[in-house]
Amino acid sequence: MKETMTAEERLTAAISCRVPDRVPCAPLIESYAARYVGITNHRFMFDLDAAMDAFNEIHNDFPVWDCNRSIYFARYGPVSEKIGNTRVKMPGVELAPDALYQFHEYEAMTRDDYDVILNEGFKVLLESFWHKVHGSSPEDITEAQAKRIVVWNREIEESKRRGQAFLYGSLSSLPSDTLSMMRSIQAFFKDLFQIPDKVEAALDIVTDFLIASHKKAIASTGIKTAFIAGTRCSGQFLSKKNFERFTWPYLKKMVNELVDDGNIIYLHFDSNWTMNLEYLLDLPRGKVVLECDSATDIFKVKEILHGHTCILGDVPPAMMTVGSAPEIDDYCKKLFQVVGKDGGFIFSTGCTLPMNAKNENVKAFFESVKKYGWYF
Amino acid sequence: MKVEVARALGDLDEQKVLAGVYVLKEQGISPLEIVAQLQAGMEVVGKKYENEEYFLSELIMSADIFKTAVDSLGDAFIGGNVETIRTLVIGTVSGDLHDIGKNIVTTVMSCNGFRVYDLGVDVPVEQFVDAIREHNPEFVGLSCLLTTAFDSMKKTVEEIQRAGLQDRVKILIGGGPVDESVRKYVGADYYCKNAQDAVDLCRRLLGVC
Repeated sequence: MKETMTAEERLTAAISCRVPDRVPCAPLIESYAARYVGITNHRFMFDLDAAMDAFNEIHNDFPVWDCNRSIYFARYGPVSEKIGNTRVKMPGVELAPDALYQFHEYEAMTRDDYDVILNEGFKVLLESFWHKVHGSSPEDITEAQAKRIVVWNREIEESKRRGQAFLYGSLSSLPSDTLSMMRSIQAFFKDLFQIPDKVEAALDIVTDFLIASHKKAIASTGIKTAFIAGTRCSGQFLSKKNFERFTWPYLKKMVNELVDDGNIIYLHFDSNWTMNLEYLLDLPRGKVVLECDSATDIFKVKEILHGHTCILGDVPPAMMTVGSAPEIDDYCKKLFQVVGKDGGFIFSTGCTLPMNAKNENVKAFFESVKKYGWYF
Repeated sequence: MKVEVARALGDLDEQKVLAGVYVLKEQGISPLEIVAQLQAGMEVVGKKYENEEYFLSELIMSADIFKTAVDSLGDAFIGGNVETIRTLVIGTVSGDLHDIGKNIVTTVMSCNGFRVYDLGVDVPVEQFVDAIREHNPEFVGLSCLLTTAFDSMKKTVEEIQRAGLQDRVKILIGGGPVDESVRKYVGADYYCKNAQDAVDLCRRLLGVC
């Protein structure tokens, strides 16, 4: 079999639910990269050149990796330590040099802070939040935001040089997830029951802020796509009634406004969204990619969204870690044959490829594209 | 009124629960009996969860109402006196600092009649073993969010076995990337998908539902 499309053409065909020459291959690879190339994760997280070299080495070894869906620019140490939405403990700083970074969530945003959002805007709260959890000064924030764009553009440039498509031109979480991370999950859920009107009013403001942030980032990166993460406000966590009140209207508004601006949307939906899939049929056809992390039933996704929404996923992280290469091969084969049938599919890991994935499993993951991923 | 308190908790009606508990207290109903009614309310919540009417946020809210109601009993009630059905020792295993899932399980199990000893995060293997010896629990819960902590889970299970404690406890595991294949890998007894799953499993193993 021979490739007849560029990575960009292949990706575009898949997103618009058409059939490309083969299935695009887009693992989320940055947790795995350092250990694979034999450097510490500390170096990978803080040394941009070393990280770019690691990506190059992986691409050299697995050239079938044609779509880079990296969010390294947001995880890069000097950025996430200053403007991350949660306090983060980094390898070589609070953790062992070869550890994975870890989020430390606590109730840093108080219930009173909703009034700050309502009276002074979300930007004011966000900056005071960053000061509280990271100790960031206004100058630190400006500097970290500038660094993020530099790293982001470097990633885009390196991806293009390797002949890869780069997926993400802007990034945020859903409005409800954003507040949940800042409030902490249990406190936020209580807010939904105890002060629902105030949460709703705050979500209106946060949504507009995030839409504007996406547009600004897209203008800087030149990639007309938006990565929107959602984990905590799916059907796994919220009843249908609360999903319809606190998740769906804001999700729909973000997607529609950004699509109206000519952008493609990647819904990076971790946790189990199986019971919410029908809602997505109300979003624009051929403009949205649903990224599944293996908690959502991807085969059900195919049944419901095929021909409407492109599906990305979802080799489970546990299988990559404790499974065997033949198990990986079997699962990937099923993904290509069932989810990939008649197009609209991007092959990937379920969320991130784990740092301690077995190398033989990673090899089996990439080789499966060449074995089962062809349409023609 | 007794039935109303349980029903109000089942409906997540915080004001009604607190008002009901106040009336029962004024009527001279014993704190233990009031707590039993609140636990009956938690069972209503559990049923609604099973029927997919409630989800994780409702579980968390119900646990919060339960705790507020028990706290409102004040001096008349000391938490330790409640008749707990059995004991759980829980913690996030060594190398992993994440606590969200573990905290939710702790909260929900506590409100369903279990005495829970929460060892925190990044818990060394020996601490689990010591806690089993000290508290003599029926269940041990191991949590993690990182796949890199699977080996810590495995080591913890092995150490519990090496200490000869495996016949005294059932080892439950859970967390974001955990599934049945991980249970087999680490050698634990059961995998729990979520907090309510843990409650239902423990009750089933105890033959109380």
